[in-house]
Amino acid sequence: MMSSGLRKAALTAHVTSSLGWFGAVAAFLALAVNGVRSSDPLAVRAAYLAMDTTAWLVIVPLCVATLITGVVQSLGTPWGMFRNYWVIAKLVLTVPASAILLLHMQPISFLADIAASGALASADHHQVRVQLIANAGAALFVLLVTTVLSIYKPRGMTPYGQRKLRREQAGR
Amino acid sequence: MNDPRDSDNRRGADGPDQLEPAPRWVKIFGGVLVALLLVFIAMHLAGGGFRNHAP
Repeated sequence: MMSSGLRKAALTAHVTSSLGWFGAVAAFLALAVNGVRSSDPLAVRAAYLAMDTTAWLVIVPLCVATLITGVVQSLGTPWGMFRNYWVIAKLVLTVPASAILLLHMQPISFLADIAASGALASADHHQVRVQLIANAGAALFVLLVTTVLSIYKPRGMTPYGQRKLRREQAGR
Repeated sequence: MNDPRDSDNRRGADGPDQLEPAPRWVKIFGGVLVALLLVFIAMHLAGGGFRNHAP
């Protein structure tokens, strides 16, 4: 188990990275909506260039940091990784969300490359651009659910957690 | 952060050998997750997904 100071530092890192991830995805969503709605070709190109930078330099690093600090938090505190259902639920949401994010980096860079070359018109690749909006919206929802789970910590221990708790209580 | 050993979570250790079943929210959460997974797979099989990632 981590010391109190270390635990607070790890918690600070986890909260900062996860809420930073949420904020960055919100900004990404705003740019994605602007990229579809705007009729100004310059604004459209700027949106996809900004989305590419935001995704690679902010969203992906914060996503990785959230995963790492979350695992450290769970392993270094009495909550454990597989002892409480809410911790497992967060993991089950965050790992696929991270995998899907990495999969969807390809179309973001694709659109940014076209925008950089100046060949992206307002109506080009409409389906991919709408898909980016849907993905960002879904990501925001998932991150909101994980935040709610972290704050409310709904009751319920796994069978593994219950057995481990009994062993600890018997050993006291 | 609270210590889970001091919270409601210790209810699971009340009985001598009995384990508390998963709460209702876990079952609902699992059901929703499976349904979303099936929708996600169906959408991609129908052609709305991975093939369009880099047109």
